[in-house]
Amino acid sequence: MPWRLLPVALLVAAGEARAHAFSPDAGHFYNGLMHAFIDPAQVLLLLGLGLLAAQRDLRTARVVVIGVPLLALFSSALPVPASWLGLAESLVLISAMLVAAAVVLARTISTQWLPVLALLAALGPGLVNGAELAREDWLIPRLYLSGAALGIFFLLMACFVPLAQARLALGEAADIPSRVLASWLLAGATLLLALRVA
Amino acid sequence: MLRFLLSLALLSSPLLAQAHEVTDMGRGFVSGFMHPLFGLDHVLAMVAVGIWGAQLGRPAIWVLPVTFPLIMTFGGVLGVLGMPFPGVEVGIALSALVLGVLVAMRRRIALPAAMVVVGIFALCHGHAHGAEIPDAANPATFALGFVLATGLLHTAGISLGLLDGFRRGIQLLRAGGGVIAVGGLYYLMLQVR
Repeated sequence: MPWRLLPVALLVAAGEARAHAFSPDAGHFYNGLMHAFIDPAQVLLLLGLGLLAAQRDLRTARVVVIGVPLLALFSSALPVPASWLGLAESLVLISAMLVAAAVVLARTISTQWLPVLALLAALGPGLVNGAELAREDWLIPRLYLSGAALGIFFLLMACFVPLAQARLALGEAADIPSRVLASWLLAGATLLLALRVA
Repeated sequence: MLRFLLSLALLSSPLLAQAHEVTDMGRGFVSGFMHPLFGLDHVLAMVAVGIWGAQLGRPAIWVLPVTFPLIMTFGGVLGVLGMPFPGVEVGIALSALVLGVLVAMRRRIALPAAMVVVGIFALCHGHAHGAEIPDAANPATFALGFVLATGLLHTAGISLGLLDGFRRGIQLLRAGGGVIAVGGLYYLMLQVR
């Protein structure tokens, strides 16, 4: 019995939260990684792009899954002043609205323009990260930006993979949950933009 | 016993790491998520939208739950901007009453007309939620919370509406519509009194 209580004793013991600090620089990478997850505007945009990739043809999917994180990474390197952060966040929200609207409208929009839309949408998160770097000048850019690109990729894949599988299994019937989810994203992005304007 | 002690240990262990708690995101999200769920009139109307959509069949089964959040957003924006919307609470009560009656009667109308009915009520619900947003702990996550909760209530309604494929299910849904209508009538009387 005393040995069985050992895990309990270990768990109860108060330890300082220094979790995952295997290197003092890891925080810069982790900051970038989490940025896509804790910024509601980016969450809406990236989930919308994941839906778009799963709903459309292979070319669009390829552009979204590979092109968006890369373009976001490269556009982060643009010399963006910190004062542009609000503007960049509004751009992310407008992109989220357009992408979600494209998913809601589904086949009524030509597939031809969707890769362009996806790549333009990738500029928003890139500019936000660039402005963030300008504001938080203590961050190490290469670590922060590689984390940010990976975070963007994770979030895209989290939405793309299950919906692409559903589409393979169900065919166009899988468009129904995609369009419903996209309507929630569109509603959320519009409200966030209204809050920004108000 | 060990399981109990382990659970106790986990609960009592100190939680020092509060990383990423950016200006009350969690609290804003939870209060936004709970906002439609705490108002029974909202719940009744949202579930009724889902059931009615399912009763109308494809494409209404997904067009109505798509229409609702989109129009609700306009109402929400009006609320955020502080624009007055007279009779919004009456509209919400009326939504439960009218949608409940439509479900109880299993009323089939043309899709554009159904979208208009749902859209008008969506404006009222959106304004009621939107007016609360600026006071929330985190307005952004509050907005996302109430959109998500509304969508999930529609999904619950659609799931219930799938009973429409069975004879007993049809009766059950019609009875449920009656209950929703009575609930709507109760809230309407509270507002009118």
